[in-house]
Amino acid sequence: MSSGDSGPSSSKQLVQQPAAAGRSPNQPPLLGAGGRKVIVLKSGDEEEFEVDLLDAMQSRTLRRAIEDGCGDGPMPLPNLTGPVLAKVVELFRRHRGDPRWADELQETEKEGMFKDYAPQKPTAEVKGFDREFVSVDRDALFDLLRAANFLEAPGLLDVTCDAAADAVMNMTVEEVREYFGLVNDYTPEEEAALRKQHEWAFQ
Amino acid sequence: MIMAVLFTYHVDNGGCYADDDSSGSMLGKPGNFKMIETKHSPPTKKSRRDNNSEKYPPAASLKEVIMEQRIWKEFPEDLFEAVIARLPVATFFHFRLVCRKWNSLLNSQSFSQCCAEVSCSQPWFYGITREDVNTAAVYDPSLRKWHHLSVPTLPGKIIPVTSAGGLVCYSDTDYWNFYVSNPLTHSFKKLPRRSVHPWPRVVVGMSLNGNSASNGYKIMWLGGNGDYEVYDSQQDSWNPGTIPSTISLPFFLNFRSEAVSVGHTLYFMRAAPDGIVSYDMVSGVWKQFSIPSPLYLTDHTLAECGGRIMLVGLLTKNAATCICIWELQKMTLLWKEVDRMPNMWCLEFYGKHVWMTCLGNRGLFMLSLRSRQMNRLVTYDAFSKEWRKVPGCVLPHRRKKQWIAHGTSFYPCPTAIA
Repeated sequence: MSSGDSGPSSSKQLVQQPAAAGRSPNQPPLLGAGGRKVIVLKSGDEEEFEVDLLDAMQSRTLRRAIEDGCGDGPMPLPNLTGPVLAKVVELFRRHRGDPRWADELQETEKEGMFKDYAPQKPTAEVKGFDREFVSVDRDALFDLLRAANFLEAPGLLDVTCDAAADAVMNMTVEEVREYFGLVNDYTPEEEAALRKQHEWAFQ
Repeated sequence: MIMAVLFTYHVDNGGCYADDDSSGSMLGKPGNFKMIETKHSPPTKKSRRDNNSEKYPPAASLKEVIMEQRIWKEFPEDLFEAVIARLPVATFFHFRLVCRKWNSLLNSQSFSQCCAEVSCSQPWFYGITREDVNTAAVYDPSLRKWHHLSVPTLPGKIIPVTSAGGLVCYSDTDYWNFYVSNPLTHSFKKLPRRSVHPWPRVVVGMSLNGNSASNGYKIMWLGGNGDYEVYDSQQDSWNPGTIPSTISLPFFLNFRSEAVSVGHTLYFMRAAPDGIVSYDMVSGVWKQFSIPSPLYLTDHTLAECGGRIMLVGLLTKNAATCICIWELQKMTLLWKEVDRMPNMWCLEFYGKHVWMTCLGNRGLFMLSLRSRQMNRLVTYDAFSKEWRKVPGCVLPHRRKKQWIAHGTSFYPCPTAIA
């Protein structure tokens, strides 16, 4: 939680450059390096992140907000903490041009905003980054999954859901319940019947 | 109540971000939640994603704090299907014991969609042995393991002939009756009787209307004299057709080779002239391609890998025998050799008469190689060009290795309905 003296411009951590604060709502989106359009995302703990507009479009949630004209000022994302948002922003940057979301974007694209953009297959470097990205403990992975779910970003969802599936793949049923915080709601008879029904999966 | 505080962040209907009036106290990391006043929080808007609140009614305040932290760390409910769809199929069936909700996914339309989106798994092989017709021998190449699935009891002997989208198509030995089933779930259907008098031997193929079995499927049999019929699952009927005069008849079909399906098109292998005939299941258009067969080719079968047409065959010259893989060159209409079984493995067959049966011809091929006193099963991954030996199939509580008499490959899909 930010202390009392921290204003919108005293961000603790910035991915690129500090975002300009106090712009009027009617101003066009910021222009970053090379004249690219950028938007500012603000985490729940008041950290601001400057993101290339093209990268932010990987999230359907952000895309809807941008299309509705909410991208002019810092965009508050109160349910994402700074560290989570920093990771997500980095993943968006690395996934630029990823066909997992890019095909969809080209279909919905109206204003020719991304005319020079070409989808590319994820390189070995991106795949390595993805692996590193989800090499975190359970709680951190759940943070990322919640972020992915909220942001509706296909690439982020893909990477995090794969990681969750990998994590539980070799667990026992009991361990899976514990991992996801689920309760066994079967009677012993039902459990036995289910085992019998698909006996092959337990051999 | 607590949930309402913790999950107030959302996009409202207009798509813009609304800072809730309680946002000042809710910001921060999970560790800060103990400080939140939970007892009299105002009725705030709930996130559209928050459907857990009913399950956690308000309780004593200490319990609330604990619960609060637990909920904060909770897995997003919406993503269960996406995660479970990524698990190996055998693991999915095992994990149905986790809770009722996981078990109910088998009948969920959205879960079926998730499975279709992520499915890139290797095919499994469905085989039947001579000894036990009531159990299917199903090979899972990712675990390198045989599963023994019970099959619905049927009158007489039926054999698996083809598959698509997780469904296996069977017929009796005279191709009079056809059946479709999902071997994983026992979803089963007997197809109506064929209207055309059956030709003694036919080649069968199957294709999907969309990207999963839920959009329907078509099954086709083709006889050597050019008789054919197409079954449409949406109409639940067989429709006979006539081969155009431009296609030379009779076919001299390779009855040992299942038809190959790429998209809506089925490919059948023929001889005299050597080549392939194709049938488009949507437009009903027939085509024929003349492709000379490789020299010294004996047992062989048509196969498919990522839309490419392949040929798997046994080359026998003098006393030497080798398994070769060819790919069809679509420009030149020639078979180009792309791989061979490792020499060391071929040496085993030197001087012996070998029979080859292909038990699966989609992406990953399974070959049964037999000679006197020898019975080998190998898989060939056409994507990675990897040859692997398959462990012997031994029925539970038995000792003897089984000989797989008939088989087909299928992409395991828990949600496919016959």
